[in-house]
Amino acid sequence: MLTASGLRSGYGALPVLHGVDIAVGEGEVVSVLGRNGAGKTTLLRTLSGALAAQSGQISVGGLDVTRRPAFQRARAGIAYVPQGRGIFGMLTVEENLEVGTRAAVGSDTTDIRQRVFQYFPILKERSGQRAGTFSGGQQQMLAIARALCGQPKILLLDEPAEGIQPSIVHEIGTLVRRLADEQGLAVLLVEQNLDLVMSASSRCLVMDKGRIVHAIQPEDLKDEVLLKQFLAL
Amino acid sequence: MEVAATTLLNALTLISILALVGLGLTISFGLMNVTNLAHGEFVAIGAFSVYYIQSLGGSFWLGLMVAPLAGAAAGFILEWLILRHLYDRPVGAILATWGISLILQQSLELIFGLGAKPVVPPVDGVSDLGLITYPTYRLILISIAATTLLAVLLLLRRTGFGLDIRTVIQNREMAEAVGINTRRAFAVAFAFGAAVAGLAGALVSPLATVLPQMGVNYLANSFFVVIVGGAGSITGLLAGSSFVGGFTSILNYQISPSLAQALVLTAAIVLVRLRPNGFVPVGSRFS
Ligand SMILES: Nc1ncnc2c1ncn2[C@@H]1O[C@H](COP(=O)(O)OP(=O)(O)OP(=O)(O)O)[C@@H](O)[C@H]1O
Ligand SMILES: [Mg+2]
Repeated sequence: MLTASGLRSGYGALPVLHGVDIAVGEGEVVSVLGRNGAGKTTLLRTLSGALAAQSGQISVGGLDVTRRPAFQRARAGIAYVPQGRGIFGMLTVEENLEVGTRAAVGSDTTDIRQRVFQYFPILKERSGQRAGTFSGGQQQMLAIARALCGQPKILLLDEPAEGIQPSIVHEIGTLVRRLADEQGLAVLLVEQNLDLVMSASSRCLVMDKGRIVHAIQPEDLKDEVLLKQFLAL
Repeated sequence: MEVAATTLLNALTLISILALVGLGLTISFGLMNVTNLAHGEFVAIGAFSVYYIQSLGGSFWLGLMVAPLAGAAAGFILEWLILRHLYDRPVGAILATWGISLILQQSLELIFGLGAKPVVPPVDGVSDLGLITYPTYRLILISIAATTLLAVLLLLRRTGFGLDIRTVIQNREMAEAVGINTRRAFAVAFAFGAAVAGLAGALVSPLATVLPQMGVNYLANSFFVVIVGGAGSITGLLAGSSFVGGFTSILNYQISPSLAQALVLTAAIVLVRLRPNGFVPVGSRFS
């Protein structure tokens, strides 16, 4: 569904990604692990179009989007939930979800929101509330719900467990798995929380210094010897 | 009492104009961080539109309708030709719009010639308000401005396009990531701000001296408004206009206009020292 090859990007004169190849299929949850500063966020920002690729290629279901601006990539099916969630705090829950449907061009937006509410009953109860008043966990749920409102084919999640209580982390893990299984969503999950990675992932990639350096199975994360070796923790 | 009522209405006239002119500035600043020094020329274009329509035998009201269209056209062209290439270079945008401002002033002078242009108000005389009498045209001006601002507020709060604008102001990168074409949103909003400035120019044209350079003054005062009120918010725009317009009107009654303006500037500077983000904090933009 999502393929990137030879992807290079960075900030000004500072190169961060040095040729990343990645592929995420329909219904697959691929996790990316790696130390702080490895370039995980940079990878997701390059895929979503927030940052331009310096070279390489990105395609969505066969469509080359490498030169497309971010809003067109969103409409082509890439949904991005950034680190820190990026919800619109001054808008209500309902309004956040409504702007989320901007990527779903030509669809019935009320209908989409009703379907998304099925996954997030609490958001429906609080639809008139300002998103900024939510707790971290609720904001994360909202950010994922907003992403789903764009009817994406691909979901990019950047550290959804960061700063969130364990019970909600577990809920997110279950939800991500369900979305992949039930809707065939291709998920690229950047995460440091190993419990979440293990509960949701189909397979894992390890990133270091702007390159993918290992491909491992989620079960391998239970093995501390392997873990030390791969993550050099 | 009569003095207070007259001062209040004078203040409302000024506040109306400042809010209409400031709208475009607060939009370009709040949305794209663009400081548009050519914004005053949209006011001049609006005023000259009314003059031109009247010189062809058309009515003031026709001029009032043409003015925002002329402003929007000028805004659209400026955005398309210049600004969209300079979003990542705020300083470049300041210099470019400053140059454009001078070019527009010279062009107006070339087309319409030197000297102030006469604009005839659509109505003469005064209205009896019981306590005081007040020029009828100014009352019309206040009503049109208030209606326009209310319409803008409804547009922002109740329409899909308004929601897009509020979203872009809060977080441009994220707005783009949810599928909003932020550049197009800005282009439309910019032309809209220019249209409203053109309307303001048309509204003041019977009261002001219609000159190619007339925009400069409005630009300076609306900058106070946006700085004092905080960029990117209608509430801030109204607060800033009320502060600058109200203060100026009260002082104008007591002392000479230029001294009044200097005092308002000083007060604005003091206020910005105390509240660097304006009356309305950034978090509550356009809400
Ligand atoms: N906006 C920026 N401007 C310049 N350099 C940046 C910027 N954002 C990140 N970097 C640099 O790029 C490199 C990769 O950062 P990135 O945020 O992609 O890492 P990460 O793997 O997401 O780390 P973390 O686990 O801390 O989120 C780091 O060296 C960082 O300092
Ligand atoms: Mg990161």
